[in-house]
Amino acid sequence: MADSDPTLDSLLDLMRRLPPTRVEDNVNLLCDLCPEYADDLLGNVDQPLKILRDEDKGREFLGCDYNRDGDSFRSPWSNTYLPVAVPGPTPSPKLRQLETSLNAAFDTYREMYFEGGISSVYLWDLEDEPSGKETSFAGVVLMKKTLASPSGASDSSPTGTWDSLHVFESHERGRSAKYKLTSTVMLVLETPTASHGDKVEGEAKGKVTLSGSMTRQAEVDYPLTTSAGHIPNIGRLVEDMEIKMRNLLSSVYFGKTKDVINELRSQSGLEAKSREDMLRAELAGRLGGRK
Amino acid sequence: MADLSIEDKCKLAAKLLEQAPPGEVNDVINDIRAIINDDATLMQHILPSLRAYNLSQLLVVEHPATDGIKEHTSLLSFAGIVPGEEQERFVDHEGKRSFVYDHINAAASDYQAYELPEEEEAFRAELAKSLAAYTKSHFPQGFSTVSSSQFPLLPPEPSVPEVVPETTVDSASKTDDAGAAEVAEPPEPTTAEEATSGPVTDVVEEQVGGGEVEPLPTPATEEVPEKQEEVVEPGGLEKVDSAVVLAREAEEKEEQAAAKETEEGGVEEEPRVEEVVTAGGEPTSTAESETQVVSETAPAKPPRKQERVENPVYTLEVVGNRYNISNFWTGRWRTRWIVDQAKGQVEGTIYVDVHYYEQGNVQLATEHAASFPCPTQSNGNQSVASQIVTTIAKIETAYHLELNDAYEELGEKAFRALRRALPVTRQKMDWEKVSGYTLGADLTKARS
Repeated sequence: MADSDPTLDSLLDLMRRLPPTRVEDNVNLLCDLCPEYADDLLGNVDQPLKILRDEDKGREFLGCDYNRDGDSFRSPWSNTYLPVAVPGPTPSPKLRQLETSLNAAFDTYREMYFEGGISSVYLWDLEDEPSGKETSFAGVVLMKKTLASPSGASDSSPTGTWDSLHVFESHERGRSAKYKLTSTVMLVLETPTASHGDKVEGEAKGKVTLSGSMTRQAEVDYPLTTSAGHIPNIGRLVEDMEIKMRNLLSSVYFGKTKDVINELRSQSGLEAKSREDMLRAELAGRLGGRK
Repeated sequence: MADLSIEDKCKLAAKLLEQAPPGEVNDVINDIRAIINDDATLMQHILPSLRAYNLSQLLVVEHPATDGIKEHTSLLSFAGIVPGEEQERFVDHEGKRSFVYDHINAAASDYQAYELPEEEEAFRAELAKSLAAYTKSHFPQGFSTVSSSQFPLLPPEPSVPEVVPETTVDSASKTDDAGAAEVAEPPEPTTAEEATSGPVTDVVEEQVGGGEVEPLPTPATEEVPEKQEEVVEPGGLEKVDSAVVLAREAEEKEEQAAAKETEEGGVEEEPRVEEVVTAGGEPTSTAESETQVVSETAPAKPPRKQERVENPVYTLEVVGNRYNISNFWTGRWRTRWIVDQAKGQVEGTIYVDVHYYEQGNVQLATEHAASFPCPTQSNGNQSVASQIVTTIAKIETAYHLELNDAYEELGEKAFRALRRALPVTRQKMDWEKVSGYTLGADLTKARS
């Protein structure tokens, strides 16, 4: 991406600051403000994946900017654009075959890690090197899982959504392939609060929302003998990255933001804390003196 | 799609700044300016949004020392608006003054005496003292305020000048006042000014970006914003001077001399002049041209009747800010408690906002409402005010603890339920085999 356009930079900077929970509304608004940048916005700002239904195949699939044509999205199950059939781009027959296998493989992956949810994989051809020595394609692996609060207990259970997009490029060279991966996970978690101080009467209720997205990149070379070899290669690449990102999200969401809360407000009170610090210093001093 | 008019675009874009994370409102405004690329039209729409943002986010305003009043801060809030004033004024309880706030230039001006009736002030001050102690004890970068909805006493005529006795200060603040009035009113003057003042973008850049609208009040960040603000822009100062000179013409030679002193570095004696420059970046650039008329007419106030409300409510507000730019996070804890003695209730809301943005955009947003019965009599040697603040402290600490539990809940339950760390087999996928599997599809069928 040649991003030296200051307007685009500002649009993207803005999206990195505004609340992730409102990303869809805000992107739509910015598209209205700058129609000439609509494609750049839609292509650069990750939005929650759309859930669509392929009635013919009786299965749901995921929509994002990579399988979109106008208001329609290509289904990985039937290779047709839905809900309105449009003659949008489709992968070459050979690539479509790989796409079908990858969809089956990631369907298994999804079940093993997400125990539910929806997955979709889309591939598209890249222009081959003029030398003809290299064949290239790109693709995206999508995962989405929603945790709805069980009906009836709607007030006390946490809810959440996981959306992951793994966009990759593959360049075959002789008996190996180079993969470049950019992964984004969007995660929203919400839980109600109800505390009031001890022995304090009255009502209390509230809500905690943690939301956001994180992006990471990776590049690997894997051996490749047959075209089917892409399946374990891409599989491992995405699996390793998603494991890494899950750890990262866990530390940022549950570690970092919690630390900031404790920077904002001291639970025990600053005086108590400085007394503790003094005691600790004194203790350390005495122990040191004893040696 | 029909293109929006520039007015509509500005209106919609300005609204976005109300979503700005703690400490980042200037960044958001600068992004919006680059997107709209029409400052003259945009700035008119920025004002109402910025005002709403500043008031709801409890902006900390710094008041430099003047004679008898130490350097201190006050909070902007909806509860802190002086009732019954035509132009919006905010109370600075510590300085026993009210002031006009220019949101665009981040400058307070036109200080006037403010005095609550004795009974209300006694209770308010007691609440404020307890709340300040609580704030000091629990918020490393905390600020608090207590407002009363009671109308202030009408100032006896001669007392007004006493509050702002120095002529220089007076005129400087008037110049500033005019600037503020100008922006607060329908914004043509601002636009006109900007249109005529050469490099438009630069001027506004300094007003908005350099003015540190947001970071201004927060020594919170250990290193950043304060120092920058101390940098006195010589150009700005000169403009202050020239405006002053223009405004008062020959009338006040003394004043000119004083202002010159300021220019030469005798800043201490002229705190307000300094403030105009430091806090506002370059406020006078907007004020310059059409200020004179306004400043001449400003001080005359029509006689009013003393108004009273029967059961004034008291609003206790606390804000704790930390902006750690170098480590990619900002945060704000806000609370607002309303003591309604007639209703016998104290009702409060706590908001916590955190933005973490290292290679991503992760935000925590919480809102929590709580209430408790208002104590009616002192308990042993604890006054009503002190009991109220004690209960508030208890609730906020309980909430703080509950937030930690909420993390547990989200991390242990929700996060795990969304995606496992590893499959049930505790092993990664065997991708060599998986191409042969149709496991996923089978399981999905079995589930449904």
